[in-house]
Amino acid sequence: MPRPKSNKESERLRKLVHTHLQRRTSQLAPIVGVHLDEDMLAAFTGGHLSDLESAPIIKHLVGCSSCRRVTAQLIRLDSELAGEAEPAPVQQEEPHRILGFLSDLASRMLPSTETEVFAYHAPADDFETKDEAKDNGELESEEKSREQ
Amino acid sequence: MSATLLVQLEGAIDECAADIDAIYARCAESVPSYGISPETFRAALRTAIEKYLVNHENGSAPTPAQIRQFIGDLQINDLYLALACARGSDDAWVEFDQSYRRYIERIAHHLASAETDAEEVIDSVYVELYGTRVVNDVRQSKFATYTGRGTLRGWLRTVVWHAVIDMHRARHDEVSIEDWSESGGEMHDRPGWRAEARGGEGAMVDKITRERYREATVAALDKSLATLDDHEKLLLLYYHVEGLKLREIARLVEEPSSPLRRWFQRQSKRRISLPESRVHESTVMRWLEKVYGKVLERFRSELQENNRLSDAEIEMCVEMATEDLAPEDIRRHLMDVPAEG
Repeated sequence: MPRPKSNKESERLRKLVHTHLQRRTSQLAPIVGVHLDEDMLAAFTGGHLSDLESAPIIKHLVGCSSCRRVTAQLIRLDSELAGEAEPAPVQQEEPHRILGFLSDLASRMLPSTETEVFAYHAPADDFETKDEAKDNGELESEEKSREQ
Repeated sequence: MSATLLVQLEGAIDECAADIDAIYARCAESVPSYGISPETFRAALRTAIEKYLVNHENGSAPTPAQIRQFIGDLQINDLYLALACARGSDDAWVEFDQSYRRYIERIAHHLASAETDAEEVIDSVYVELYGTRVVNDVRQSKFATYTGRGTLRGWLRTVVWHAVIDMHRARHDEVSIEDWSESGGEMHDRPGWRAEARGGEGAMVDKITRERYREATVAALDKSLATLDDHEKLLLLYYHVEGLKLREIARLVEEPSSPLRRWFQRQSKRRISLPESRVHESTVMRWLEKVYGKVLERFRSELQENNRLSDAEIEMCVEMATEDLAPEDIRRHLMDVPAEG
């Protein structure tokens, strides 16, 4: 496998690829239609799919910036949660109490006749400000080089 | 699905009936109080098989061997619990609440912002899991969409994440999905290639030359990137466009079964002997460097063979491109796109 001749060349190529990809993906029209559902997103980010299963998903992620961004956010979330302490399990609830509570909660939050549409939830940039704030100061040299 | 494909699929699943029944028997014996019927269990597995193993593009059904492998890899206990919760089993809900409530709370609190109340998110997730829509007297629980392909934990993380996004959208007068997801993707006037100096014949020649090299560089880069495998493209996109850090990508591929990891390891003789070892950031960097190497090779050969450029001219192309994409421009790009800084 050929490799860039030197660090300088590698760095230049990385910059070139970085900006080219940024520009290209920003110019692509978003895919409208079927997106990956939560089950597929979770299975992919959890690394549970075989080659046969993952091939169409990876192909979709290459072309669909919306789904790719969701997976990136989920990966980031997973990474952040990994650094936190695991909470203790909750105390055992009395049987029948949970379903009663849920039924009551559901009736208060949504009327049962409502037709829900489980539309695809596109990713938002909402967390970026938060992400950026968190990440400030912890950029590693490799990441820094992406900005230069 | 075509009739032929359907017949092939049913035939392959029938051949695995004994395996499916054996898995069901183990689950039912382990938690008989969940009250899942064999038919419900089989239907759930069939849904998962069809969803993940049927190739609708080329119209091919999985083989019995692929189905056996697939059901063997499913998170069966998680799926059994989810099926029981979907059907409203008291015991299952108690088990679920005990095992996962803290996790749901943790994600909700982690993601909650000043305007999104974590408790409200938790309530809405529970309600969604329980189900509010009733079709033919059957409550439509969100659990019914879980196939057991990933862990229940991973699936819940995605569900909570989406609940937070939904809540945020509801509070911002609902922007269109595409406007939302592509908010960093409008066609801004990108200042990548700087405006040429004005005036004078020399400037004009310079402008034409630059334009020629610019077009050649962009086209060659496009072609070089297009020849990459999807796994390589996704790695580049995660790193350069989505702004994932090396350690975050390493985390994505930490499972030895990760498809990205397996693909890159297959390309590397060095890792074959240690397929289960931890993937470090340096490994991801090596994968990236290999991809850059491929891009560079194809980029050069494209400019040499199709554009008849000399080595010196190719150097000039790279030089110009990287000069024109100066740091301040890249920073501006980064501000435009939804990637970390």
